[in-house]
Amino acid sequence: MRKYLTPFSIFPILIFLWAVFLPAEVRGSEGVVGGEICKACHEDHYNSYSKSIHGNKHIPGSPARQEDCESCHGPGAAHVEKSGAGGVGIFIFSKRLADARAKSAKCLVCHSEQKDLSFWDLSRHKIEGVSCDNCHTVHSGTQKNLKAPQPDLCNFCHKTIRAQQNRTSHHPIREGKIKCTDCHEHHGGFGSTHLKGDSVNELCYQCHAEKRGPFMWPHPPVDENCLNCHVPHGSNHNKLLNSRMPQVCRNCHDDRSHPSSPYTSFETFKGGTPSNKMFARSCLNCHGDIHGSNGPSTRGSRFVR
Amino acid sequence: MQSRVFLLAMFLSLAPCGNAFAQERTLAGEVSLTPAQVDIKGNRAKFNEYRDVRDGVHSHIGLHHDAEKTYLDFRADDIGHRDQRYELGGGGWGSYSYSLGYDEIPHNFTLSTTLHR
Repeated sequence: MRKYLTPFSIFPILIFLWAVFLPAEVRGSEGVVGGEICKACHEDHYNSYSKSIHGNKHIPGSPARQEDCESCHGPGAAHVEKSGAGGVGIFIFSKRLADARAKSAKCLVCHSEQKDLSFWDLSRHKIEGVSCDNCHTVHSGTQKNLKAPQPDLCNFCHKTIRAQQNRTSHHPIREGKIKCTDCHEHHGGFGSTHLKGDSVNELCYQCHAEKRGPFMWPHPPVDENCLNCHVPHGSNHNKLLNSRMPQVCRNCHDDRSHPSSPYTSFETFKGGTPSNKMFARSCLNCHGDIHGSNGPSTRGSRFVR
Repeated sequence: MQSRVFLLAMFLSLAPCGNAFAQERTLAGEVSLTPAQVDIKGNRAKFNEYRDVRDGVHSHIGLHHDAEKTYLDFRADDIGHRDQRYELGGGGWGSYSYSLGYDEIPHNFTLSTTLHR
């Protein structure tokens, strides 16, 4: 037995084990030529890639520590042999040459373990055919490799939302104080609008905590959904209301007592002292604690200041 | 609301101290000072509902530091204004990250009358 374990017989075994078990970045892959070869023709692309986070060799698992350009674009040996000709299996992030799922799949090879991508398969973006490269670029030095800063990036597709952001009453989105991703989980989540909260109210309460209560006299539509009265992205009515005062209240409060019949200019502007029920803050002139009140007796139950 | 803002921008840029390539980059930064003269014709409170645009100097500072295992980012905008913002972020490549922020958001309803609440 001992005569078979000479150095000459062990050496081929070691070579075999080295080839099989060493990681790809050490072993090298078939057909891989290396980033420097790519740079010879695609210098602009290579330089922009090198400036990006993907080109950072300090990051474990980054393309720069694997196969550079070929980590995403595939082995380039055949491409080089044919003097840069196409049709040799080089993967290009082009809408014409690859569908959204194929492009995203390339990114997910490395990024699938990210916490914020846990619900990508559930996301509306994926279902609608949005791929990673619609918002991100591999060859960039921008923050998170975004193609544009927020909200411009999101507004490029969500034009209705952009119009709402420019209305008179709006959240400070266009002022740069709130980003789309403060409220929405862009990579996917539960619900149709990818909200970061468990519900609309839970999300709003993160900033508007004074509306949460608990109150001795809660206002039921407030607890139900903030969107019963408010439009989140912008409105032409004060306080992001979905219609002006007093109509927003009268959507529910149309009983025969106060406030009974519809207010018109005849009831509200006649005489020397016009009523306050039709202008300024209308119902809120008196019912100021409309989100809920802890006031005693009828003062609280009617949300009167 | 008609508003006119006259801006004379002056950018003092501290060019990246390191090489352009990420793995060789060590420190980069920029400082921007923008003198502004503001002429608002209309509702001043609405113009500055969530911001503080007024005569004076608007500033921006940005710093980025890359080391072999860690990185650091710092950004400051509109220092001394009512909408000033500071952000500090950093971490270790592939291991941890942190971010600290301070952001002032004014909310002006009116600048000339008294509110009931």
